Formats: sequence, C-alpha cells, structure tokens
Amino acid sequence: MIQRQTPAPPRAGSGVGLERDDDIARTLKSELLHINMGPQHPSTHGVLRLFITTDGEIVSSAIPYIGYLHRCAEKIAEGNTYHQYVIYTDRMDYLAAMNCNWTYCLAVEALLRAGGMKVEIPEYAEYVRVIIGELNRIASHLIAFGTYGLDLGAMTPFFHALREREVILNIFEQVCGARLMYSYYDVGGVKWDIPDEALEDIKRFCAMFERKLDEYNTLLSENTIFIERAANVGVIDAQTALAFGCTGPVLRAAGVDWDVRRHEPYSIYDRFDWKVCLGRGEKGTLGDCWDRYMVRMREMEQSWRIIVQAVDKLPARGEVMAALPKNLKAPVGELYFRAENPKGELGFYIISDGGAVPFRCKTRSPAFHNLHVLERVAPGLMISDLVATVGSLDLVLGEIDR
Amino acid sequence: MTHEQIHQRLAQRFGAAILDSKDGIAQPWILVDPQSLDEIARFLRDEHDLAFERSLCISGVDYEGYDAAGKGKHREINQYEENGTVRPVDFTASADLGVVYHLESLAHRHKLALKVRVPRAKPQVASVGAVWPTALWGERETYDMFGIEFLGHPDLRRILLPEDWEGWPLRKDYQMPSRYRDIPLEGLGYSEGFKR
Amino acid sequence: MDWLLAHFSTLPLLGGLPYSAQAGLAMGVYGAVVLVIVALAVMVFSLAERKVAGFMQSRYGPMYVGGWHGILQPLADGIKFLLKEDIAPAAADKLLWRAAPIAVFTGAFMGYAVIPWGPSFVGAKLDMGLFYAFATSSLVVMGIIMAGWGSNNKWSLYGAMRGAAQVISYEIPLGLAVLPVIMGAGTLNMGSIVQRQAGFLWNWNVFNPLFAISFVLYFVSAMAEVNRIPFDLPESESELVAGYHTEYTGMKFAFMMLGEYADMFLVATIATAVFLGGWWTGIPRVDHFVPAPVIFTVKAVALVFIMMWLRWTLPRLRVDQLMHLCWKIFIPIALGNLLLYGLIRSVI
Repeated sequence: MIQRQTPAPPRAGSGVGLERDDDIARTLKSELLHINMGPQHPSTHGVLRLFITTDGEIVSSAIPYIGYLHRCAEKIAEGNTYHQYVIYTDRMDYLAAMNCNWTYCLAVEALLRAGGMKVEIPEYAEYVRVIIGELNRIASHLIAFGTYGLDLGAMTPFFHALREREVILNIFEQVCGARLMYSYYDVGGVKWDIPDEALEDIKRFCAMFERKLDEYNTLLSENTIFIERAANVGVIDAQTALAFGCTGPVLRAAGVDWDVRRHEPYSIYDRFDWKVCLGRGEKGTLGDCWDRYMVRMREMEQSWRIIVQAVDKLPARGEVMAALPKNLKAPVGELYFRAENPKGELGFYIISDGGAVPFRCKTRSPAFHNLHVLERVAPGLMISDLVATVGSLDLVLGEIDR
Repeated sequence: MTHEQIHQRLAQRFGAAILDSKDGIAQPWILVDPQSLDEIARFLRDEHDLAFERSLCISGVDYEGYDAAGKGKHREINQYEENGTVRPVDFTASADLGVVYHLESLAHRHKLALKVRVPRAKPQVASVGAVWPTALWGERETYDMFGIEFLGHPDLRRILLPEDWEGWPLRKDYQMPSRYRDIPLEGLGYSEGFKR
Repeated sequence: MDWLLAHFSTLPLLGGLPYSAQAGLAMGVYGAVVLVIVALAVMVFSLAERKVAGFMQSRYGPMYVGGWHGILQPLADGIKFLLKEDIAPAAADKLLWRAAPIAVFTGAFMGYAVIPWGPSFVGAKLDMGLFYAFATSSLVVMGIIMAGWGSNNKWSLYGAMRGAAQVISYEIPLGLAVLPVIMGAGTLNMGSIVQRQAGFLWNWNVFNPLFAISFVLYFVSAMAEVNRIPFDLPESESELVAGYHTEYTGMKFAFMMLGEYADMFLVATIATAVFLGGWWTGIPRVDHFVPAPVIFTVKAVALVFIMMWLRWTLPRLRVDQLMHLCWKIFIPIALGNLLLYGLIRSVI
C-alpha cells in the first residue's frame, strides 16, 4: 500500500493581505476558519465540494474534492461496444450532451480510419452534426450565462437564458425525442434525420436569437455592479491557463488564440466564416471573470453565425449514416482525439486490441482541468469572488467526475 | 518538428532513457524510462524548438491481456458460461502498467505521445507535476485508478474515489469488494458486471 | 389613536375607566390592528414579489392556489410554514436561536408606532418620532446577530457578521440623509413633517433639489438597511447558502421573512412620510375625497415595488464594495448635502 500524504494545514494568519504584526495580532487569539463549501451548496454547480480555509472574508486556500458523481465511465467503456458507449458520453457533460456524443463518435471514427477502415460520413450528416452541435453549444453557454448571473445575485438573467434554451431543447426533442440525454450522434453519422418542423424551428430560432443576445448584454454584461463584481476578479493569465491545462473559454479569455475548431478543423468547420473569440481585458485585467463570461457571450454569437451558414448551405436530404459493419470492431491501434466542446477540449484516448470493445477508453474532460486551476487562483480571493470565479469556470460535475 | 526529429533530439540528450519509438502510425509515440521521466519532461517543455507547454491528457493503461496482434482476450464483451455466470479470465500472467502523456506545443503546432511502462509489482513513475501543474491531478487520477505511484508528487491522494476505497478499479484484474464500509456491494450487479 | 381614544370615552362601559386605562386599551387595540395590517401587507408582498419576479422573468409565478392567479398562495405558504418540522441544530445556542426571529420581527414592527398613516391615524405622536423609528429599526441587526451566532453554523455566522457591519454602517448615511429635512421642518415629529408638505405636488420634499439628493441617499441606504438585493449580503444565497437564517425552518423562518418584509415596508413608509408628502395627493382639492391612509399606503407600496423591481434586476455587491459605497461615497455626499443646506438656511 502506498503511503498517502496529507497536505499540511494552512498556517493561521496566512490570508493574503492580512499579515500584520502589531499588538492586536499578538494579543488576540485568531484562527483560520475551515468551511466545507458543498457538496450541497447553491453555487457549486452540482456536487463540487470545496474545502475552504478563510481568514475573515478572505479565502486563504480552497481545495476541491471531487468524485461525488463518479460513475465508473471508463470502466464501463471497457465492457461496452463502441456504439453502446455513446449513451454514457451523454452523462458526462449533461448540458452539452450532443457535443460529448459528437466528440466520442469523432474519436471512434478517427480510430477506425487510422486502422485503415473506410468511414465516409455523408455530407448531409456532417451539416446536421454541425447545426445540432452548435445549437447545443449555445444551450450550454446560455446556462453558463444564466447561472453566472445567479452566482452574482442576479436571478432574472437565468430565466431569460432558460427561455431561449427551451426553444433549443424543443428542437432537440423533435430531432431525437430526448431533452437532456440525446444519444443522437452515432459512430458514422447521426441516428435520425432532422424533421422538417425542426428545421423550421431552427430557422425561427436563428431569426430571433441575435436580438436576444443584445438583451442579455443590456441586462447583465454591461451592468455596472456586474462589471464591478466580475472584472479584475480571479485572473487566470495565459501562462497559468496553459500550465494548468485550461481549455475552451477559460484559455481563450486569457488571450490565447486557440480553438480546435479553427486550428485543427474537424468535421466541416473549415467551411464556415466565424471568428475565434478572445478575452480582451476590456473591463479589467486580461483573463478575469468578466473576460471568461464575455468570451462565452461572444461565442454564442459565433455559433449562431455558424448555424445560419450551415442551414443555408444544407445539402439535399440523404443518408445520415455511413456504411459501417453492424458488429463494429476497431482495428488494433490507439488514438487520442479531442474536439472543442462548450466547456473546453474534450478528449478521448482509445486503445483498441481489435475487439468489439475498446481495450481502454480514457476521457480527458475539460472541466476537470479547468477546476484544477482554482487551487492556484483561490488564495487571496474573497468568498464572494470565489463564488464568482467558480461560476466563471463553467463547471459541470458530471464531466469532472465521469 | 516531425516525430523523427523529436525522437532524435531526445535520443541525443538522454540516450539510454529513450527506450522505444514508433512512427508511421496515426499518432506516433516514444517510450521512455519512468525514472527519468521528469527530466525528459522538463527538457521537452523548456527547449525552444520543442516547447511542449501543454500536457493534454494523462492516461493510465493496464496492458494486462493486451495483444497488439489483435487477438486479445477482450474481443468479446462478456463471456458467459452456460449457467449464466461470468467466465473467469486468467490473469495470472504478469503484464505491465503504463502511463501515456499526450503533449502539445501551441508554438510549434506539434504533438507527442510519451509513454512509460512500469512493472505491476512496483509501479513507480517520476512525477511531472513540477513541469506541467495540470499533471498533478492527472497523476492523482491515474494513482486512484491504477495504483501507479508518482514519485515526487506533493499530494498523491485518491481523487475520484473515497479515500478509504480499496483496490485499483481500472486494473484488468480488479475485483469489486463485497462491501464498502457498511454498504453491501454484492448482488447489485456491479461486481458481476466488471468481471471478465 | 386619538380617534380611538375619543370614541372610547363616549362608550358607556369604557368611559368610566380612568384615562390611563383607556389610553392603554386604545394602544393595545391600535397595536393589534397595525399588526394585522402589517401581517396582511407582508402576505400581499410575498405574493407580489413572486408576481413581479414572474413578470420580469417571463413566467407566471404562483397560479393555482385560490383559483385566480394564485391569490391564496400566501395563505397556503402560511399553513405550510405552520406544518413544517421545526428543526433545531443540536449545537445551537437554544435561547438565542429561539429569540432571534422574535427580535427581528419586533424590531421591524416597533417602528410602525410612529408612522402617520393619516392626520389622526398615528400610534404615538412622538415629538422624536423619526429618531425613534430609526432607533428601533436598527434592533433588527440584533436579531440577525443572534440568529447567526445562535445557529452555530459557519455560514450563518458569516451572514450575521456581514449583517452587523452592513446595517450599522448604513445607519449613518440613512440618518444623515434625513437630517436636512429635519432641519427644514424643525421637528422630528413625522406628522408635522408631513403637514409641512401639504398643498401642491411641488411642496413635497422630494421636489426640493437638495432633499431629492437626500431621498436617493435615503432610499438606497434603506435598501441596504433591510438587506435587499443588491445589498442582500447577510443572506446572499449564492454565497452563504441562506446567510443568517440558514438553519431556520417552519414558523421561525416565517418570522424571519415576516420581519424582513415588515422592515421593507417600514422604510418605505418612512420615505413616504419624510419625502413623498405622506397622505397628501399633491392636488389640494383631491385631498378631501381620498382617505389619507389609502394615499399613504399607495405611495409606500409603490416604493416597495421599486425595491422588488431592483431586486429582480441587479446583481449583488461584494462586501468591500458595499462598505466602499457607504463610507466613501454616501457619507461624504450626505455630509456635503447637510452642510450645503445648513449654509443656505443660515444665509436665507
């Protein structure tokens, strides 16, 4: 048995900015306060538990404890065929289940191709995948936007966000019958065609959504109190973000121009005209909470642009699945594949030994690494700022714990 | 930089610590000595022409039963006896554990899969947490699931499972315990499902 | 109260009693009536709050209980509060823990004694009525501290400490804001302050430029005083779970809520009396036709609505920003305003 090391308890008075050496500090007995923030806490976005040590209002350390939602996804992967495992990817980032499905399917397809198999996704299915995937990105970012408002005490944006998300969920329901756990993508394409009504709904959504974005920005993004609360708070600079493996909006908010969809285009992302949204430090320091928030708001606009173009260019209806053997066996090989999910880069490392099930299927979840950076950022923040920072990382515990 | 160039750079600098390399596949890899992994990692990050500033993914692997020829034991999902019980698989043959590090350089836009293999009896790898802080959690997860010890890791605890959980679940020879504290785990389908 | 007392003396049975007994009885009756009215108002507010929230959030709010737009929802809530299990934390300081809801509600309710609903609808025509109202309303902070400390919960303690710092700090701009008005009126008697605003609309204090600054300062400080978003730091549910009342259930929680809404209504009534012309409509001819308490209540409710509106629009301030706003912005402005008004008064 390997000996486990436990971290040394923080020293009293180690709160940043509170080091003082005067009569009060010497005569007054003071201790740090240890609090469990979570797993049942309104703003930990699920079952995250932060063990925080505070000195008054100032947090001197925050240690995340995760695993409350661990469902052995990687072990399960080793006992299920490639097709069967798609439904488990739904349960990872349940707010962007479509994107998780998609990434996994792309990973398996890449693995099949690497082994010399022919996997030709029909053109039509690629467009459907992009449209649905980007819709889910908007839905996920809407939740991020709404809950961020909640974290900072503004209730109303959340309901406005849910209102638009409802439209997207209705579209998904028409497409695949489910509202949260879709399992719509499959290895080789998508499971069903989009019905005509859903396509009409998508067009209607596109026509309406840009106006709504302005509404959100007026309501929350430009609010003085909101800027006061989010700007210059929880700054994650580019170096830290890269070192801690942050991806997605957290990395881009730090000013790192990196979006897998743009720099390593998969599917058909190279056919659309859209921009990579970066943090600009407009309201404060580059890489603060406001930047992370704003990157998501701008990404929604870009996703909207992609959807509009994809709907425009949508080819004539046809097959939605590639011709693949029913009893799918991946050739021997291994592959790490990552794709840009709403939360960051979701990666799958799949090793196949030629069987019907993967030999090993490791998930690299973006929120897992985005959460890790909190250990570095938290010391010195106030409790309110800690909440703001956790919110700005847009964590989904289903994905962290898998 | 191509994979071959990276391999040569490493081979020049570390010589015998670079054990193997495979090119010409979808994602080439380099197998290195687990004890000098931290130095290699530092070299990979700090050299200007390599500059692997990102560690994307750290995956533990249990190579038990892996057969690169494609005739592994894991070809079927579950092998059932006629009476419905799961057929036990022979795990007596020793096989290595391994860790795979997927690295990337944004500056040079090249990627690398760095592999180490450690004996099952004494799974010890040098920690790269000092090089890429993100590895601290990746290594904790690998420790949690495979029992691979990362030497020099400042805080090597279980991360996803409870602190007092026994065993290393993602090893191929893992047997689900019959109880966890006061909670019976038999008969719930978990123990049976994970057996091969 | 005068009106009650006048009636009592004409009644056959009560008329025989000594004056002090009559006065005591009248006081009791008035208190009971106000208690019921305030409790009813709080029930209305609790429904109104959800309806306002629903309206702003494109949803309906309660729709089922009572048939018409959830009109009986507050009643259902009351019954639910009564039936909820009363859970006390094992390590709580039981005495403080039980006393806290009472302290919160009493503190909020005591202030109503001096509110002039109409020329003769005043509990006590205290000459230092405004001072009394401010003094008693800050008793609420005692309840908050008792709740936070007594619950023996770290989040509650945080809420209590924030509450103490916040309420006591905002007492200062609150008091300073009304000082020019008091200087102008020359009295602390709220009835007299209202009487001075009789006549046309522009006689209201809020339409005097310097008093308008006072009004804004007062209103914002009052929102901080009663812990409403954007100043709801003692409660701040996304940070401190539910702040000082995290551990409260059932009727104890209901009393906390009741106290909170009663306090909110109280500061609105004070603002109405001091700045918005109390029971005057602003058009002298109309004053005779509308009962004074109705006008007064309408104005106070409008202020409460504004508080609700702000609550469902704005995010919450951080604790240091809150203090910054109070000590570095509001207090200097209030002091400057006071100085300016004093200078003008002494010159003219």
